[in-house]
This record gives sequence, C-alpha cells and structure tokens, in this order.
Amino acid sequence: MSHSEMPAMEEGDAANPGSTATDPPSSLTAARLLILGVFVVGAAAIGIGSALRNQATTADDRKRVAGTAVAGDVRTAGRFEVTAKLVELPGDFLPNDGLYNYAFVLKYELLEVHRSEGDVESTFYVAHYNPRKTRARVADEFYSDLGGNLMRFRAGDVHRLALELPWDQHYIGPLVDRYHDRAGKRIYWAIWSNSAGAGP
Amino acid sequence: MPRFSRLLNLALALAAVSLAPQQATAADARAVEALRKEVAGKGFLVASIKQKRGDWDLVLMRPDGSEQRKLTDTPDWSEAAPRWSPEGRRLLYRRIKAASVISHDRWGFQGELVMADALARNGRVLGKHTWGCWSPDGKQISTLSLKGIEIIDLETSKVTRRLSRAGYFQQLFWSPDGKWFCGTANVGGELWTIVRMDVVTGKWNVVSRFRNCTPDWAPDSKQVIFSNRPSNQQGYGWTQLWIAPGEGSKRRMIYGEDNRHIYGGGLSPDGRYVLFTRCPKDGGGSERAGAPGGLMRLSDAPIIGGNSPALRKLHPEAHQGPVLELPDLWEPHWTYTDVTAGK
Repeated sequence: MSHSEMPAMEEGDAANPGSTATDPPSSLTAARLLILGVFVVGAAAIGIGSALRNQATTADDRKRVAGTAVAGDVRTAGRFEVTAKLVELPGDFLPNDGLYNYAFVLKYELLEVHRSEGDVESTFYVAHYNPRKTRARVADEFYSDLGGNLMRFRAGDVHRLALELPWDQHYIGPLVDRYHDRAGKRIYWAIWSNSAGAGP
Repeated sequence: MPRFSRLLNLALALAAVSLAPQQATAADARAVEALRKEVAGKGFLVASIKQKRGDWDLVLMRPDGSEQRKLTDTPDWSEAAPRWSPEGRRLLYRRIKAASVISHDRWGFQGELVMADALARNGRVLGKHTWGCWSPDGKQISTLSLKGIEIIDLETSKVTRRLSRAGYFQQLFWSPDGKWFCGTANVGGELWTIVRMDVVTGKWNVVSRFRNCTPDWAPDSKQVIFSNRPSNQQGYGWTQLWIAPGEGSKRRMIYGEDNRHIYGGGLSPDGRYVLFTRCPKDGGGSERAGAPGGLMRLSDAPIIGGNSPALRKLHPEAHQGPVLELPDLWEPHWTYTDVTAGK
C-alpha cells in the first residue's frame, strides 16, 4: 500500500488509544512522556541499526563487485586494461539473430588505467562484438577469445575492459560506428568485458 | 533427341513451373522449356549440395540441372563454394569439417582452401587462405584477412604483394581483367557496402550502399552483381539480386521475389545468363540445406517471381520469367569448358 492510501490519523489516536477522559491530568502527561520516550528510543535504535546494516551491505557489494570486475581474463587479455564508464548508447543495437554478426562502437569515459601500452584517451571508443549477447556467450567459432561477465550494455554503467588496438587488426567484419564523423578517433577492440558497478 | 526424351523434358518443365508460386500457363512452360534447351549444352555447373547424412558435397551438372554427378563424397568434410579457374581446368573450393555449420556470409573464413583438377580430383590443401580467389591468369590467388589483401603465387606459395584491406571484411573477388577487386566493406560508418578497388593503386569507390553482400564480377569486369535488401519494403524485407556498373552509377534489379531471399548471384561465362538461389529464409541456405537454384537470361531482367504485388508496384516494367528451376544448392559456378573431356 502506498502512503497516499493511508487513512489520516487524528492526534492522540496512536499515542494513547486506550486513554479516557476520566484519567487524572498528571498521570496522563506522565504516560504520554513515557510513551514518547519509548518511541524516540525505538526510532533511534531502528535508525542506527538500519544505518549499520546499509553500511555493511554497501561494503559487501563493493567487495562482490570488485571480485567480479577482475574475473576471467580481464587482467591478461589484450594490451590495455581499463575501468571506464559507458557514456551512452548511440541508438539501438541491430538484431543478433544468429544469422548476422557485427561489432558496435561505444563511447567510454576513462576512470582508471590498470595496464597499458601507450596512453589511453580520457574519452575513447570501443568496438564490442555482437552487443546484444551477454559477454559470457559472445565467443564463437570466429572470435573464441572473447568473454566477460557483463550481462548488458547500459549507459552510465562502469566496465572493466581488456582491450586491443587497433580494432581492425583484431576483427574483420561489419562495424556499426555511429561516431564515424569523429575524425581521428581510435577504436579499441573489446576482448574481455566485466561489470564494475552500476551507473546512477 | 528421341521423342520420348523431348516429352519428358517438357513434362519436367511443366512440373517445375507448376511448383513456382506464380500462376503457370502453357506459354510460361514453353518459355522455360525454350530456356532449358538453350542452356542445357552450355558447359557445366558445379555447386555444393547438402547430403542427407549432413555434409555438403560438390555436384557437377549441366546448366539445366540434368546429368548430376557427385564430384566429392566425403562424409567427414563439407566441400563449399567451388570456383573453376579461368581456363576451366582446375577447381578451388573450401574444405570444412562436416560438423561445422557453414556461414552464408563468413564461409571464406571457414576451413581450408583446396585446389584440385576440374573434377575435384587430386585435391591439395593450400592452407587457410581466407577468401582465396583466382587471379585472371590462374597463377595466383588473392586472399582477404586481418593482414589485408594478399596476392599469393600458387607455384611458390609466396606472398607477392600485400595491400591494405581498406574497409573490406568479406567476399573479396578479383575481376576477370585483373584490374579490380570487389567485396563487402564498412564505409563511413555504413556496413554492408559493395566496394570496388583498383588492384594497382588501392583506390576504391562505392558500388552500392546499404544492406548489400555477395558481390561478384560480370565477365566484362565492368559490372558487379550482388544481393541487396532495399529499404523500400515493409518490415524486414526481401533480398533481391541487383547489378551495377563498377564505377557505382545507377544500379538495377535483376530478380526479386517476395517471400524469397535471392543470393548466390553469378553470371555465365559470356554474361548472358544469371544464376541465383531463392531462399525462403534470409541467408543463402548454407546454414540449412541450400535453396532452390534459378537460372534466367540477363536480357529478361528484371524478373519478379511469385505474386509479389508490392514489388511489382515498384518495378512495373518487370517480366514474369522465364526462370529455369535448379535443384536445392548453394554457391553455384558455371564454366563453358568441357570439364569432363579429359576423363
């Protein structure tokens, strides 16, 4: 039930549902203060407990994400290993119906370089093979070294990527490049793609 | 020809027309029979045909589909995409493990290239040699790979030249006059573009944009035949066979049919006839069991098969036929050489 569906409460209903007009005034005040105190202490206890629990959950999540971000071949594949934020999805992916295969260029914002042979630009572009597929299922007869634990591409998400450069020395096939008018850009080839955290 | 044989051929032609989705008439049947007679003695076709046991074998036949005989019979291997050498005395094809599904557009990356005599005997595995294709003199082959376009001397197996592959990613074929390559490429953010490249300078131009593949040269080296799925259709659309001058000016449709995807386009050695396949599902049928082959005169183009009302509105000048039906096959190739002469 949502808050807007709660019936309005009259003042005193909840605080002292059993009170009557015949109680002495002093006893009534003391009882009210006692109940208020219990309520405040209870609320504070619940708040502290909740905060502690949230803190523990976030720490566990971080630990879990860190564990998955370095899973598989991400630390060894390719000559580049970065953590980066997927800036946007430039339109829909084409179907991956088993008949046609392609790579799709995505734009990233660099967060951290883990391994690199040469500079990695603060904004860079990555060609991902058959992006509709989970990275765990993307490898095939033609590109057997690809993988990762990324389930899907979502703008704002953070990925840990093992990359190669240039893309066309590692992939020969159709390329969907909706940034083709950006002259001089370098396109990396994604070998391993892990999730490293959700976007906002 | 004995009278019985003539009657049998007419009956077969009538049967073929009756299987076609369009309304068959006696005139249609006579036109198909005339086409059949016209081409039957013009050399040979070779194509891959799926076997019940699961692999693909090379099958030789007359251009009307008669006199079929297996050139290979290898349960553990599929033989795919055969092409006779320009003089018609040797054959290149790919040998792919029978357990593999042959990709309709990436088959050139699969298996190994084999060179054999014209009847697929005495085959020699040349190596991976992706998209290996005859040079005009039959002494070299061109290949397409991540390394680029390579020209390999067949006698020494040495790479004699390497060019940048530009945007080419599949289906690279060398023109009969030796001056050009054609292939499928990424160009300016647009995939599935047919591109022609000057073999000497490496300069290239677009032949046809948007959803094209499986290009091949006309014998005059001036035109390129290819499959195209135009955008002026409802929904997914149907792939049609088109032809365009190599310099990329106006293209024209050769054959189209709603409910069929047309692939495997190729011309006869004199450029007068067109071979193709009519696949009910997209792709040329290599992932399944092939597709019915078709043969028509180029001078009869454009032809629209079946009812295809939407397509007929777009091409009111199109003919109904004739189209000679061939067996279910994949990637047929045609020579006028009598490849059986030396047997």
